[in-house]
Amino acid sequence: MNEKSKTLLRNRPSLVVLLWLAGIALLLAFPFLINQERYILHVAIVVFFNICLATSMWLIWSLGFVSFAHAGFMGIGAYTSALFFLRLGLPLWFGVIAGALVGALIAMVVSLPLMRTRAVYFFMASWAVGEVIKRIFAYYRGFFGGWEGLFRIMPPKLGPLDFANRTAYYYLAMVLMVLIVLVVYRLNKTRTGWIFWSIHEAEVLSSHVGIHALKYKVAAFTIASALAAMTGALYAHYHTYINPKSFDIWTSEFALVHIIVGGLSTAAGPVLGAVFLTIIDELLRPTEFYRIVIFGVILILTVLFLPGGLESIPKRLRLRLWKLPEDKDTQKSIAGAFGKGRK
Amino acid sequence: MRRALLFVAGLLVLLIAFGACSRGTPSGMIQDKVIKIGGAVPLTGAVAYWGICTDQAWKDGAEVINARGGVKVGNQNYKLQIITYDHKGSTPDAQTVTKRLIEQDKVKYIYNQAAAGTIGMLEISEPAKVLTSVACWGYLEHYGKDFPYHFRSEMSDYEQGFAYMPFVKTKYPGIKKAAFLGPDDKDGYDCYYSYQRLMKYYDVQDLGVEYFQWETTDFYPLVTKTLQKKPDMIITSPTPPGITASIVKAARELGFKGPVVSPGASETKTILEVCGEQADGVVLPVTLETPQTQSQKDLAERFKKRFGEFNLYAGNLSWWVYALAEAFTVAGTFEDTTKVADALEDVVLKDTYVGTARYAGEGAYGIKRQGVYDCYTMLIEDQKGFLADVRFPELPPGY
Amino acid sequence: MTLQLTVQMAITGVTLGLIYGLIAIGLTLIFGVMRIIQYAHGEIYMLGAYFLYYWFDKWHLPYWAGFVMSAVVIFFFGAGLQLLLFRPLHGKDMLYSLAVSLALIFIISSAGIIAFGAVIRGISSFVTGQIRIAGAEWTFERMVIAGISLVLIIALWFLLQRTKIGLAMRAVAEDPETSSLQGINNRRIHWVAMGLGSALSAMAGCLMGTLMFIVPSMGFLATIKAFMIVIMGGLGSVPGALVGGFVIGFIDSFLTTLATSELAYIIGFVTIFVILVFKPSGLFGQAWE
Repeated sequence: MNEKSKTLLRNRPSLVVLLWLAGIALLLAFPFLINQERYILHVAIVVFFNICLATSMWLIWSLGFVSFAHAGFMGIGAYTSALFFLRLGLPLWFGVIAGALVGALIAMVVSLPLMRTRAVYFFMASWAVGEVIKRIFAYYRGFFGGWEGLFRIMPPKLGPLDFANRTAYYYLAMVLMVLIVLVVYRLNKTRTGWIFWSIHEAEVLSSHVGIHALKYKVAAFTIASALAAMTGALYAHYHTYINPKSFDIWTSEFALVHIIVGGLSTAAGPVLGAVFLTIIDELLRPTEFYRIVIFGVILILTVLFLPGGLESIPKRLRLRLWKLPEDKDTQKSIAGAFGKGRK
Repeated sequence: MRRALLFVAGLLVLLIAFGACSRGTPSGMIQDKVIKIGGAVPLTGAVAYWGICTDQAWKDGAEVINARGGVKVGNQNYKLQIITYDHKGSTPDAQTVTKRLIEQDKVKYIYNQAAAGTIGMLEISEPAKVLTSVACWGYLEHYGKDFPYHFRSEMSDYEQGFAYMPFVKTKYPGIKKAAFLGPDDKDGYDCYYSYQRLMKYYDVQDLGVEYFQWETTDFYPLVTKTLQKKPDMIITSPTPPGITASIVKAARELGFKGPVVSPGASETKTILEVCGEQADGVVLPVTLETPQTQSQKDLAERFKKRFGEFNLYAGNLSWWVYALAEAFTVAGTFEDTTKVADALEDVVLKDTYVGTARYAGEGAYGIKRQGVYDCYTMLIEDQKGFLADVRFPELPPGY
Repeated sequence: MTLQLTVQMAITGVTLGLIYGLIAIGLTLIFGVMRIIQYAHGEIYMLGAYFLYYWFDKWHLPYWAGFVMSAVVIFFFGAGLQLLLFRPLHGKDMLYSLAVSLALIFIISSAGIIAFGAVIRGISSFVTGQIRIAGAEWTFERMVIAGISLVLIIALWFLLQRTKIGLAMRAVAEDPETSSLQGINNRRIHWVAMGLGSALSAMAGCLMGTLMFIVPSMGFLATIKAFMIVIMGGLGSVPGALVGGFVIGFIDSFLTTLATSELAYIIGFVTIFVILVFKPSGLFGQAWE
């Protein structure tokens, strides 16, 4: 909290905006920097989807819990959009909004009972929700297509622009990614974001100072699930094929792993984690059998030796290399992270 | 502020890593006379066994062909280079791998394994006119005239049926009714469809199907339900050896005496280990476990030497690479996949690990892309697995 | 529905319930004492089964000695994991332990394919034969396995309730700081509990491996079952694990036979959800803030 308030006080909005713009410009120019190489664009789109999932999951985490139903809500978005396209002929633009609405509605209804549970019980209850969502897609074969899934979910067209072109889809996914990161980032900075963190730190205490914790928890869960559903809609129209297996617990778990490796305390964490791990996974592909083993080792090493995640690297560098600690608190926390000065 | 900085830093990481990505392609064999073949196979995860076998079959075949001096295409000899990526048996991963092989490594031939991977691959490989050779029994809608570059080189349980049903009918003449057990997914549904057609053709009454979940731990409840229908024979497909063994064990313990046929289970050893003395009467019309001819023995030895052990199922797939190599020679090109596909469908190989192997299925699927070869039926009796029958599938007229 | 069918379903349900209970008690012990999410529980279970496979089917040594040896070896393996990987994360958010155990799933199950091969195997049975009750079959193998499960569950309950180390474990579970003030070596209790939980899991793996088949990817299914049961019964509660095991076992047995396996699976998860909504800490569990 301390860290946070200082950042907020020292905020110079103009520079922040400038950096955001620089980042977006970089992303806009990216396809041309790599000469529109199609495979790399594909990896970039996958990275964007992973960022979307991890960032929206981090929004739930800012209230202190993790939802394993996240992939399920992504599936709700994907299926809504796919069915809009296949049954009604409506393109992605309707599907993504409808998906977000349906996702939000279901998330709200489910979260009311779900929020009665805590910590690891929540983890299991949300797992049950995600699993039931996935199984319902498989169970109603006539409507959802069952295990065989839905085919030919084509990307949309906009005037002369056909999003079947991968560069075009890159920009579409990028818009969604920037939108989600921006929403989560801004929300986290508002008063609501502060309330989220206060519930994270001490739910009982915050409810004693007049915060209606349940209301905020339901709100955060609903927003995050709607964002996941939007990601799902774009995912469906990109891959053109979906089946219930794409939305199983592993998808949620990978999003969680991205957050943990990236860092838990700021919105940069999920972004960094998703970028880093997705690319590592892709680079490891030629290692054949050893791919998953190496991935696991990297994961363990990051958790054990970089407890603050990737986002803590600049802080550590400042401390280690340039010996320029920000203040006593940070110094202490970093020393703690390095295993020094602990009892 | 710091967060925004990090956002930009993250993007930089992305850029740098992509740079590494694009240069990180394997460049092991820098030779100008190379035909690249891509492998999109599950080497990890639940279907790893089949993926590993497929990969070993291709790698071994490519080595043998290269040792011979390569493939003759036109007047030139070319070596085969295999590039393998793992896709865990997941559909989105298979799409990524296919894109990487086609767009990054400029591969024109891909082999794949298992239905989820195949489905991920086809939507990309077909428009790119990339020839694919796969083992996939399900998703029959994605096979046929609309997919001219898609070869299903592994014999599916439908073709196997024309080999094991004649055998079962002579071995167990009293069989009148059969029940089916399959996994609750698209593969299971399609295999049930194959089974229904087979039972009709061989005039056996179909008692219906029970689907199990891949998460099922105990098969007692499901087998109890199946046995209520009083079948003479149980067929289970596409069921890996472990689940087959569990089904057999449950069925025997619950008092079922008839034969159990599993066209997807390749090793009698697993069944014997799990079921012990209850394994008798299990029919596995899949792999040859005791090599008969000299070339079969050589292949088994070679695999043992090269990979440490000989996974039997790899033997079934070992002919694919030779067939493709022959098609290159016949077509006189490897650039034009349409010509290679036309040549491949007429290739007939003799004396492979699975005897005579060729492509067929014009009548049944509308296109000649289905591999058929000698079916080796293993039978367990007196707690021993032995080769009970060898026959080329007695395909119906108009197949 | 005939009498024979009902008896058969009941027998299957009881057997499955006890085996599921055994898979789950190791996890409930680890959960209760250390409050970490040991997600790689099923992978430990797989390792236990493979140990017995090599012992019994490859080296041809006695079955029950292998069963005990597997438990001992995995006890030290689990304790080693605790000392090496989980202790540094103690006192941190439980997400870190979740991440480490997820990584363990990746490493152990993939390394298992490399080390043991992807071929599916089975541990040979230690006993054959069966009896018939009202037309329903009950094999001696299943009977013995259910009996061992029951004995182990009772033994763990006895250990926790009636022995000194059990008392210490409960004290650490209740309040680590006060317990260390009372002179309990928390670290030791932690690795002992982790080792014990892993050993129980390994024994479950051995029994299930004998009953079914073994394959390097078999662990995750056990993890799913163990989590469903532990959460339903309540963390740290041995009777809870037993009751949870019976609930899931009976759902699996009756619903699969009378309806479909798909429905059984969905109803299992719905049941957990409903139980958690009305009893947010499981049936017999302690609250976890």
